[in-house]
Amino acid sequence: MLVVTLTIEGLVNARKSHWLARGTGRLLASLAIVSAVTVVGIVGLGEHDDTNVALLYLFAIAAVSVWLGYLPSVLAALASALCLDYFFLPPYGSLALAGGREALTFAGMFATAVFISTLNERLRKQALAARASERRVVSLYRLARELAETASLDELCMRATAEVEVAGNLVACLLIRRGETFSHAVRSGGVVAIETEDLGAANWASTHLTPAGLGTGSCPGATACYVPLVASRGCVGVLSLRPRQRQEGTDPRPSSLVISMAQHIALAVERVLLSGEKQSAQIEVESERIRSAVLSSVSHDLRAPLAVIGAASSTLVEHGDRLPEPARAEMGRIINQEARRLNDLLKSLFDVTRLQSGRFRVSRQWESLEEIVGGVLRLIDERTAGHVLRANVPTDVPLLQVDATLIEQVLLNLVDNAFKHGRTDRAVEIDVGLRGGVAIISVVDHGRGIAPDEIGKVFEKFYRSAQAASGGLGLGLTIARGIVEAHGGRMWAKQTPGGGLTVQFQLPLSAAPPRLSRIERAAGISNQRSV
Amino acid sequence: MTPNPCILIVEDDKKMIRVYATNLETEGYRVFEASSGQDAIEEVRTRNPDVVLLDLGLPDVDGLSLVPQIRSHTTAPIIVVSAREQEADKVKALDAGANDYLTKPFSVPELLARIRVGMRSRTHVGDTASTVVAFGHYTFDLEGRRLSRGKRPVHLSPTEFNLLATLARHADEIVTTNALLKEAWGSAYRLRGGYVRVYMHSLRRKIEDDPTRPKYLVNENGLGYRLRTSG
Repeated sequence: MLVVTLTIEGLVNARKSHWLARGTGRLLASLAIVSAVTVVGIVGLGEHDDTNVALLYLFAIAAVSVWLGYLPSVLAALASALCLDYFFLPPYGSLALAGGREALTFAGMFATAVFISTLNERLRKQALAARASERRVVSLYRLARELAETASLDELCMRATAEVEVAGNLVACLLIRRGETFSHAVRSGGVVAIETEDLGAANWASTHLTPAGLGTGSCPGATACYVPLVASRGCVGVLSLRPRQRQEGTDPRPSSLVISMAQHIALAVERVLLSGEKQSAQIEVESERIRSAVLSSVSHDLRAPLAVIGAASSTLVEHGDRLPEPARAEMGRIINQEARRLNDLLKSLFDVTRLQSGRFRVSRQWESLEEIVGGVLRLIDERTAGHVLRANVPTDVPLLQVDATLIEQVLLNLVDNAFKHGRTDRAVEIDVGLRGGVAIISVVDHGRGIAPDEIGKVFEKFYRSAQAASGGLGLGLTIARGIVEAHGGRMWAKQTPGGGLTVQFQLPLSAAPPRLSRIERAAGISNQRSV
Repeated sequence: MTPNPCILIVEDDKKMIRVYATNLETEGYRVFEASSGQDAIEEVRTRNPDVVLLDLGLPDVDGLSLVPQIRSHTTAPIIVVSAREQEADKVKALDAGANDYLTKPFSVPELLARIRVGMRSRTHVGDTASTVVAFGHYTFDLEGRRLSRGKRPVHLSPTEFNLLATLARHADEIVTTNALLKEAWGSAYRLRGGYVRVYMHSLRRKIEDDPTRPKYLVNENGLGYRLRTSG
C-alpha cells in the first residue's frame, strides 16, 4: 500500500518536474544495465571468471556514464562493485571478501569505474559549454548583423527585440529614452504604447543603470525584468524581459547572453540616435550654405536694376531741364523697364519661397486650358515685343481641375524662358495634346537649345544656362515644375528636333468634367425660371 | 458746366498718392485722399466721389471690410487696388460690391482706362434705353434677345444668351464667376464655375475669330470675365 502511494506520488512528482522524472529514470536505467550484466556474467561466464566479468562491468559503466550521465554512472559503479563482490568473488553469495587479491579486484574496479565516470562527465560538460558558447556567439553575431543592417530606430528596435525573444525564450520590449522620459516602446511586432504598469521599475533601472524589476533586488514585484541599455552617453533606453509563462522555480533573472545582447543593442540604438542628430546638423549647415549663396546671388541681381533706376532718375532730377526731350523720355522709359524687371525678380523669389516652405495653396476649380492659354497670349502680347507666340489648343480638351492662376504662371515662366533662349525670327509654340488620362502641354522654342548634359539641370534652383544672355534669377523653371508637381503632374525638358528646347508638362485629367450636354437640362430649367 | 469728376483715393502711402494725384489732376479730375479706413468713410460721405480707388492693404482696417461700408454710402464705382499676395481678396472684394480691380504695380494708362470704364458705367446706371450693346462687328440687343454680326444673326442657346447679357449689362467691367452664375443660372448654381467655363467655350467659338486670342470675351484669370467693347 505504501509502495503504491509512493509510486503514484512519484508519478505526480514526475509530471510536476520533468527534471526529476528524467533523473529517476536514468538511475533506474543504470541499475537495470548493471543487473543485465550480472545475469550475463552468471549465465555466460560462470562464477570463477571474475576478471572478464569485471571488464564487462567496466564497459557497462563506461556506456552508462556516456549516455546517462555522472550520477547514474557512479550508482552503476557502486552497484557493479557490490554485485561483483556478491556473485563473482569468493566467498560467493556474501559481501565479505576472501583475501587481498579479491579486495584489490573489488577496489580496482570501483576506482576505475568512478574515474571513467568522472572523465566522461568532464568531457560532457566541456561539450555542453562549447555548445552553449557557440549558441551565444551565433545569437550575438546574428544580433550584431541585424543591428548593423538597419538605419531606422524603430526597425532596429523591432529586430533587436525579436532576436532577444528567440535567444532568451521570453517576451521582450524596448523602451527608448529621450531626455527624462521614455519616448516610445517597440516590440518585435512594431511600435506599441508604453505600459504604465511597471514604469517605476523601468525608471529605476534607467536612472540607476542596474537591472530592476522581476528577479532583482529593486522593484521585485514588477511583471518583467528591466535591463538598462547603457551606451557611452548614458542610458538610451530599457529592455523589458517578461517570462513567457510565470513558473515557480524558474530563474526570472536575465541570462548573461541577454545581458550581452542588451549591451550590443544599447550601442546600436545610440549609433542611430547620433547619426540622426548628425544628419540634422549636416542639413542645417548645408541649408545655411545654400541660403548665403542664394542671398549673395540674389542681392547682386536685385541691385543691378536698382542701380539703373538710381542713375536714370538722378539724371532726370539733376539735369532734367537741360536734357533734350527725347533723352528725358528715354530715361523715363529705362526707369519704367527696370522697375518692372525688379518686380518680376521679386515675384519669382516670392514664388519660390512659397513653394519651398509648402505655403503654396492650390485652389482647384474646373478650368479651361483654352482660357488659360488665352490669358498667357494676352499678357505676352501686351508686354513682349519682337517675339511671336503661337498656340494650338484642340477644341475637345476637357476642363481640368487646376488652379488657373498657377498654371498661367507655369506657362508664362516657360514662355519667358523660351523667349530668352529662342530666336526672334522663329515663333515659340504652345501645344496642347491629350494622351491616355493626361493633358500634355508643350512649350517649344527653336533657339540654340542647350547641351544634352544640361537638360537635367534646367529645373534646378538658381540654375542658369551658360549661354543665357539676359539676367533672370534662374528660378522660372524651378517654380514652374514645383507648381505642376503640386498639381500631381510632372515636367521635363527635351531637345526640339532641329534645335532648341522643348519643355513639356502633363496634368491629370479628372473624371467626369462638366460638359455642355450634361448640364443643358439644368440650364434650361433655370432659364425658364429667369425668363 | 458740370464740375470735373471727383476721385477719392484711399491709400496709406503718401508718395503713391502724389503719383496718382499728379496723373489724375493732369487728366482734369479733382482728387481727394484718405489714408485710413475711417477717413475713407468720412470722405465718401462728404465729397460724394464719382470713383473710389481703394487700396486693400490699409494699416488700420481690412480693406475688404470697407467695400460694403463704402457701397452703403454711394453707388460710385469702387476700384480695388491690391498687392499680388491678395489674389483671393480681389474676388471677395468684387463679390462684395467692388466694380473693378488693379494689381500693383500697374501702369498709369491702365489706371486711367479703369477709371474711364467706371465713369461710363456710372452714367449708364438707370439708363434703360441702353439695351443695345455694340462690340466689334457685333450688335447685341438685350430687349429683343438678338445678337447679330453685321446683318447676319448669330444663334445663341438660352444659357449662352444669359451669360452674354450679364456681361453686356456690365460692359467692360469685370464680372466674377460667382456673379455670372448667380445672374445667368440663379444662385443655386454658385460655386460651379465649371459650367461658366463650358458655356464660355462655346460662346467664344461662336463670337471670336481666334478663341485662344479672344477680343471680346476676355477671361481675367482666377477672377471672372469681361466683355470688351472697345480697344
